[in-house]
Amino acid sequence: MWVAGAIGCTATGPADKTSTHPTHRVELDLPAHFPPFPYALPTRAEADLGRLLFHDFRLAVDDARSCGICHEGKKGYTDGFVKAVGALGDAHTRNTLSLLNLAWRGPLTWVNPELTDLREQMQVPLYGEHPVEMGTDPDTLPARLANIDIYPPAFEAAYPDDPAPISMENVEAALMAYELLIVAADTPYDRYLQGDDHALSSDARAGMDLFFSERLGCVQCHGGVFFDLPAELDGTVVGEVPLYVNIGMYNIDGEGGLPPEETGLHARTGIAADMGRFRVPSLRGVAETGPWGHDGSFGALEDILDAYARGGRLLVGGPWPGDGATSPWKDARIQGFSLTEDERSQVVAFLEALTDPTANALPYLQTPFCSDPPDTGDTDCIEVVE
Amino acid sequence: MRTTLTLLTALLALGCADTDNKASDDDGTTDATTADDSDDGGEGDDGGDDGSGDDGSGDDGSGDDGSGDDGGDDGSGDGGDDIELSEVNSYSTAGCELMETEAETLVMGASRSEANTAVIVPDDNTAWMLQMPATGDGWFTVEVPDWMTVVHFFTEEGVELEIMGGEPFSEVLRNGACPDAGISDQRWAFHEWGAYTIRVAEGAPSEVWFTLVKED
Repeated sequence: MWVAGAIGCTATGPADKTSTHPTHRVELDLPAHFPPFPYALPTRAEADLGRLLFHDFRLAVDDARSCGICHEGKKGYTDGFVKAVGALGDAHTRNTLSLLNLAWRGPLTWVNPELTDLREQMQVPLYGEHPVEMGTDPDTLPARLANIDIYPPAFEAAYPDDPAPISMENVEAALMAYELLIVAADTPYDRYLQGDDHALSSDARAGMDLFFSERLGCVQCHGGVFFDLPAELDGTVVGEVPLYVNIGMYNIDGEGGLPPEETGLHARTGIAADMGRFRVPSLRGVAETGPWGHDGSFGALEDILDAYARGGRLLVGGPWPGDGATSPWKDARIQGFSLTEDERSQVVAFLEALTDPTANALPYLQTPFCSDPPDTGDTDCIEVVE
Repeated sequence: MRTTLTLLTALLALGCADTDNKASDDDGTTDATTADDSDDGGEGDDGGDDGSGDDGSGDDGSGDDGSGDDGGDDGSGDGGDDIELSEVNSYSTAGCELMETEAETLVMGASRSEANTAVIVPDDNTAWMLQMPATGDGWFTVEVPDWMTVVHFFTEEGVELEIMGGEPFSEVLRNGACPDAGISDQRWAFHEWGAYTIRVAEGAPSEVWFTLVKED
């Protein structure tokens, strides 16, 4: 999989074969087993503007955050925190979701099945106040960007028909254009599906067999190309939207309760049976997106597998002890299974084979700025000056 | 922020030289033990700072007087009263002042896999009373919300903390701002923001006072 486009950095490989003209649309070369890209592909100029904005700390209050620092490529476009910490130090209540394959994501958050519009969703981290994530001020940002020399020509190139292109509407549009291009489609598993018998290690292949086995039943929730749709054990996808599932992470006081700060769908519906139900996340890139779980309380993939194997997580200590296996709200599909240590390692090897190494390494996805972490070491980068 | 980054990059480069003698676990973690701990093989603590001499120049960014880094007390084995005092500065003073606040209770996890259920986000205004599990080590996670930052960890002397990730940036010292309070002060440098697991070694009191202050 490759995408055309580059600001500042020199793209290598297949991307060089495509046009670099700013009005030409970015091209994607997706594997045959991927669904079609569901959006009109952006122009190179729009994607390049999005790249600038995505990695620019000046979008946040006190220049404290960029989108890219909280969705860092080498962390599977997450932040590495258990629960996110906002630009003003606010502790959040959920683990940061990956941006990989947003174009096909459907519901975009852990708990809101109705929030499927990326433009609408990005307003939460940009402008949200409870908690503050980026603390972007939409009233002042366009004027500030207009005074940063790289932006006027970038906006004009991206939106040539707009007489006043530096606007929050276009900021959001460009960010969306960029984010939609964060695609993980060239994993060892994808290569295996395309006929490369050597793409998966023997452990990963054994893990794949376990993953799709009736014994483990992972695909009941983690089916489909993105491993986030319900499927039959033979892999046939049986739903168009992801499930919201209580996997037995908690059982406070033996009544199936969760830490009160995040109770899942229950917080939206008030329905008792929705306690602890969270969106089934995609497994593409999962090995890089830890910690895991809606609240980041799983520190290792092995811990998640152990919890599934025993039919729910047992917490002996910590603030919320309890046996998730006996939660009355646990999903019926979480019944436990036997799994040896070797088998567990094999499943982990398979999950690791769902990582697309190009998704965080392609130059056009890297920060174009010189000094902001993570430092790319790129000498052809943009100094942050105003 | 960028000025801080530049400064800390230089400091961390020097700090890394300090850590060459530290013991590293298989998982890449590094022990930060109290001075009277000697059961981890010794190579991590008793040689800690070899007094290579260049530390002083690296500490000027935080006004460190070098009391902990000048190659003096190696902190090994003796425990008790010969622990060096940390510099009296705004951070060590803050650590003392937080002893006067009402500590929040945090029940620690009973295993490493439970560490992420007990999370601290430092705010420089809160102290915690960490509750040990009934048996074994206690585990919790600190979220360090900045890049290239140095954090002071304050806890009761004699309590062994293992901070997984980051780089030790000082020996375990006695908080010089309140030397009679029995509080240790150890600085850790974190190149990268994120979640860091901390183990409180078995044998600590059932409740352990703890706080942390991030350097500006």
